[in-house]
Amino acid sequence: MRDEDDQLYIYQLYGISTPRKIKAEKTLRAKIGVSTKITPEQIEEAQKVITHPKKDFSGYALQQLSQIEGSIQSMYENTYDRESDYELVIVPLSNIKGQAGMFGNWLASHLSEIILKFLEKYKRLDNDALDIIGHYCKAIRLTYKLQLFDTTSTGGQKIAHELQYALKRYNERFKKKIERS
Amino acid sequence: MKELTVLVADDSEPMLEVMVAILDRFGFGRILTAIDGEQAFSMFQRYKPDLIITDWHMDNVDGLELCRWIRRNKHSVNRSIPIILMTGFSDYTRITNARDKGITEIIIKPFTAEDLAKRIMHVIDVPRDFIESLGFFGPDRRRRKIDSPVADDRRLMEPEEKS
Repeated sequence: MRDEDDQLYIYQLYGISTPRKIKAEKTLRAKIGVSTKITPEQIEEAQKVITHPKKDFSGYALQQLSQIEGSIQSMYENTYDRESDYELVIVPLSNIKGQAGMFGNWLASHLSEIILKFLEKYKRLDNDALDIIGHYCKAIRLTYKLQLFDTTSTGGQKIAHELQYALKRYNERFKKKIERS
Repeated sequence: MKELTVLVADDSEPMLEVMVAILDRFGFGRILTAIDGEQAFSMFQRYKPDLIITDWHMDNVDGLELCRWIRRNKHSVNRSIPIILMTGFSDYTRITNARDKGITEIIIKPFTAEDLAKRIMHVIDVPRDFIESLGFFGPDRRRRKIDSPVADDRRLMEPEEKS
């Protein structure tokens, strides 16, 4: 008996209408012809757009940072129900993570990824977490001010290391808190 | 690729410009842009594109809502259009949520031109079956080939053979 048959049996057992499967058709392939593809040369040309961006992303990034800073400020002032405001912090953070990397600021993207993973792990915003996010915002502003875009540069590595160290301390404190309770 | 029309939706103007430049290099015949899901849906209805690439988080109507409008609306001009979702999130629960809303492919930002080209060629060459049920209309979420020869062989084996 195949997995699909098992599924059908469950549908019949509980009187659920059976899902209808619509077979895929290669309509796009038929439209472009059998041999058309995106060539390595085209990919190379497109990659140049990402590697040497003509558009300045810093304005958008700073706008997203202001949004995060505004949200954490209001969270400091109002301790109630911070979880409902979680998305207000995490969405602009993911925008910076995703887009800074598309516009050559790999360091900002890397720092945002570190913070994003941390927040997605705990999904809580206590004052310590807000402090860390505040420091992250300052770090991102600094990358734009000093034009520090490379993750391998000494300054870049130092910032990333400090951020990771702060998260490590938070993790240890959190672990101890759990053990005590 | 010049026969294909692609619709890109993103509320970030710089990102939208980069996407247009990339897709132009890929050779797409027509590239349409929208700054949110609502505008994207009206352009989708009007111009009937072949492929949609949308950001997840946009003001007003986001990428998942756009997907829901396209997949669930009976007046939709093409309910099974491939939709590639761009996002900065890589968290498993968020990705699963997007997949459950009917997204065809997900691409995590930042990505390279090669990553995007691969996703596009994948939706062209390996189109997915669609499932229509009471609460869902979208690409078949089971990607694993459940009737793979290896799996079948193991099922046919006697218990002692398996061990």
